[in-house]
Amino acid sequence: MSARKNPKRLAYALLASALVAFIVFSSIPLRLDMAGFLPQGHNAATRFLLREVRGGVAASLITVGIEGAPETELARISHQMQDSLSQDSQFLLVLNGSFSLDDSPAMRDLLFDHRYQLAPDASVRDFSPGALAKGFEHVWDGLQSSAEPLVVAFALRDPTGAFFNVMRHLQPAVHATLKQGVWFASDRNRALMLLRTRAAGMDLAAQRLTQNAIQAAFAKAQPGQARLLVSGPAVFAVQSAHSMRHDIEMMSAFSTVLVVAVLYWRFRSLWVLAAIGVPFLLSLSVAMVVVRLCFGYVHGIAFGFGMTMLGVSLDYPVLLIGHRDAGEGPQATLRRIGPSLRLAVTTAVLGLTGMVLCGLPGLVQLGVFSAVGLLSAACVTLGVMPSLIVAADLAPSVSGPSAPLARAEQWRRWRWLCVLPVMGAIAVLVWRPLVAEKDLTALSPIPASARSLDMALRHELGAPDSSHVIIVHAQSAQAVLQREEALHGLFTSLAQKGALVGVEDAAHILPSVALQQTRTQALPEGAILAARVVQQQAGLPFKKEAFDQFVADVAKARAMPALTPPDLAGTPLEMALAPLLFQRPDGWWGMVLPEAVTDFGVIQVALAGQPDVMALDLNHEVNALTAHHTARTLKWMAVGIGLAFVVLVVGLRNIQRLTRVLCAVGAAMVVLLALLALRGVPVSLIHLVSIQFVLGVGLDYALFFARPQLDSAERARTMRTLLTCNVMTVLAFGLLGLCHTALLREIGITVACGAFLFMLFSFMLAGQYSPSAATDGA
Amino acid sequence: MKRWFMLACGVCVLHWTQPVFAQDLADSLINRLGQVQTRQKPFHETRTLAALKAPLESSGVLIYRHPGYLQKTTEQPRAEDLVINGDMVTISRNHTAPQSVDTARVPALRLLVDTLRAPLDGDAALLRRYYHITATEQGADWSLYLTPASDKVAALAKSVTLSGKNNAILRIVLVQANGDTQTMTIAP
Repeated sequence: MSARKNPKRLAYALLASALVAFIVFSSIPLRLDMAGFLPQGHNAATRFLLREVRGGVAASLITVGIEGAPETELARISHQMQDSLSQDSQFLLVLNGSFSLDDSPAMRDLLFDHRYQLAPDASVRDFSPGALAKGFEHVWDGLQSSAEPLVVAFALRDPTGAFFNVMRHLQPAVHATLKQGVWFASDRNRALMLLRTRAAGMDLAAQRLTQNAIQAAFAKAQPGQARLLVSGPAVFAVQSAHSMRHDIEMMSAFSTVLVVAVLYWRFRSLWVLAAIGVPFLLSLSVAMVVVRLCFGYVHGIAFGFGMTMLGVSLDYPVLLIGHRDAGEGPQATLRRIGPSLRLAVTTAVLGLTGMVLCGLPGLVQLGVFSAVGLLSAACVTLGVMPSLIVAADLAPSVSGPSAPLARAEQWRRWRWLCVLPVMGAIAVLVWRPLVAEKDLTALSPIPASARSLDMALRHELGAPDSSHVIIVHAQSAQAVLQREEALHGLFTSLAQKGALVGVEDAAHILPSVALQQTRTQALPEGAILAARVVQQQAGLPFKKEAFDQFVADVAKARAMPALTPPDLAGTPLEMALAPLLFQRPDGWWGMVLPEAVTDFGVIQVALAGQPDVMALDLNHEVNALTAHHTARTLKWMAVGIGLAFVVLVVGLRNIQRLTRVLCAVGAAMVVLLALLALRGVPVSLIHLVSIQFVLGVGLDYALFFARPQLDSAERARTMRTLLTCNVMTVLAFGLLGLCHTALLREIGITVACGAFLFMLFSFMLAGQYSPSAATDGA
Repeated sequence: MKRWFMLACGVCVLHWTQPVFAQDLADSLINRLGQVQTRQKPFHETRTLAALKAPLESSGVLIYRHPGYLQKTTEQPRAEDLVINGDMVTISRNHTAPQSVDTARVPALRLLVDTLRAPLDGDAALLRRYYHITATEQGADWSLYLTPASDKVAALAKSVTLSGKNNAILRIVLVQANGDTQTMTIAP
């Protein structure tokens, strides 16, 4: 090494880039929720769906199961948890089946006062002489019961049972059975609860607190051997954010350590590490800033992936330093590797077209982050690095021809053997073709086991089947309610045909003002009713004035204004109504949830002519969404690969080298696909973009191996440098494969396997076939 | 004359010491009732309701098993089974499917259940949560007077009187807040 070397400039450059990185990292916070990572939808239906089903009130529902203890014990825990949670203001709703009107006197009084407006059955408003006689008979029967002290106050004022009719109608349609006064799953010994949190489902900080509160309430109930199961979108959000943070921390720490170790092993110089740190820190910072500017935020997944890109974007400075001979001038190295380097950067960036243009915000962000990172690393490498490394006189510690590497080159003699794994891979693909993933939830960070538990709990609770939903859109709340009422006849006839059992909608909870008015107008006048009451109670043991209050109530109901959504404020009904009727910037929306759907096709056909009504099949829409994005990805992948091919043809201008590069890349590709097929995991968008990405990276290897190499020293340099690059990429992405976040894990596994295969086949097939290499450098 | 004097003294002593005794007497009476493990007696009930011209009469069998199980089977005029077991109240009328209610969720029902059952369980502490209790005893005959201890209880019951002989309850009179009165006579 030269004595004239002056690393001062390098030190300043590193310091400056570290400062930039520090400022960028500390001023741009990471977002960890999944809301920003999921697609926005490609048409009105999916946009609504993704917005409401994932981010709406449904997201603040938490289902709780308690199991693993005798029934009485589970019921006791359920009761105690309800007691402690209902005192916690973080929860709007704590249901375990033991709901009682006494919990909400305000609601009881409201429903009782408005019973004649709300009761769905016309028979309770039938005050004809015959109906009254029947009602009085019923009251008389009730008064003879031991429960008389409880019914006497209501029964005399409500002989036709309007209040009971309202209440029975409002009972949530749960499939759970009531044992020991609380909900139990009907097919297993598991107590069930349903909670709704005050905080939005995606408010991670608040949701973490509510989940701690649930755990604390469980612990306080002295559960003994019982187990607590908690599920729901908010729970998943907190869990995935937690594991994502864990993943990012692990990635940041281990990637850095691994890469630094590999680089130190290769160069044996801390100054080289410092020099490589400059493009790394700068490219990461630039990528952060660009993503922040384009998207408004930087997602944790993009950052985690960016850390992994370390393994790839560092290839450029490593290639530069690795190919330099000690004492060489700034432009000498670039002259030798510049064209290949530029070609490699272009193909690597083209490898990201699928990701950047697939239309899924999360993946787009990863793509942009990576592309910007790669480009800025390359720019820094080509523009700033040469003068820095020359000033510091950095070069590999080991250079010149090497016997082991030369011996390894001899393996190329058997390059035709590469046909075997390729044939094998083709056989595997024929025998066990790749399965396409149709479900976009494969993108979701929620483990499959957690998703199936959620399904089970929801099913046991009889929470409406959220895979089907009918949407009503109008300009006012009343218009939505009237629209829903107009549909009721249709649903009744569909229920008779067996397409569904019933529906749950806002109009069932609170009828429109118009309907309430129609109902009260049909009530008889006070004098007429009073006369009929006197007439009908003759012969019954009631005193003359026994039903005076009833007559007064009916007279009052005739003049009473209709109940509107704001009147329900502060009662549990407000919470019941919120997910079914809500205002958005584009008007009012009503959700009609069909129960126990057997044939959604019939329902869709029946609703086809209805204005402002959409019948959505969530699974179908999600599949359509996936298909839409997959098609887009495939299209842009094809464009990217086509462009890369053009770039190769133009850049290489040599049919022989082009053939070698394409053979190497093609062989690696086929084997990679076969490995994915053998793994048995359905191939999703994530795999597609990862394959394209690793294709771009793999082309680097092939291009460098295919470079005309004059002597064995240069060949050894290429091999050493590419090996360094490859080891870094495989290690960094292999580490990504250990992540809990499914999206990162799948990318990691695919890219790590791919990078290894591309290195192997590039070495065997893209490199020059030189049987004389062993003697060449001697 | 001498006997008469003795009686006067006795009344005086009783009168003077009653406030001091009452607490202990009520507790010991209730405690004594709680000693009985099972009971099964016919009953007759009369209910006077403001809304009705004539009182309602019914009769049947009361069954109690220590602790916490009380069954009131009405036979006349209409069959009805009321079972209070732990926190659950199950009622079936005219041999229809029984309906269960969790008393923990319905305070009015809880009060009704506790008022009937706590004396049988010998649980004076529970009764005191709802009522002020006074007691009198004359030989084997005794009476417990329950008056509401809070407005909440007063909204449901005005007063409850239990009377009996030795450890048998013979009569329960419950006056509801609206003045409706329920009188249950139990065979000795």
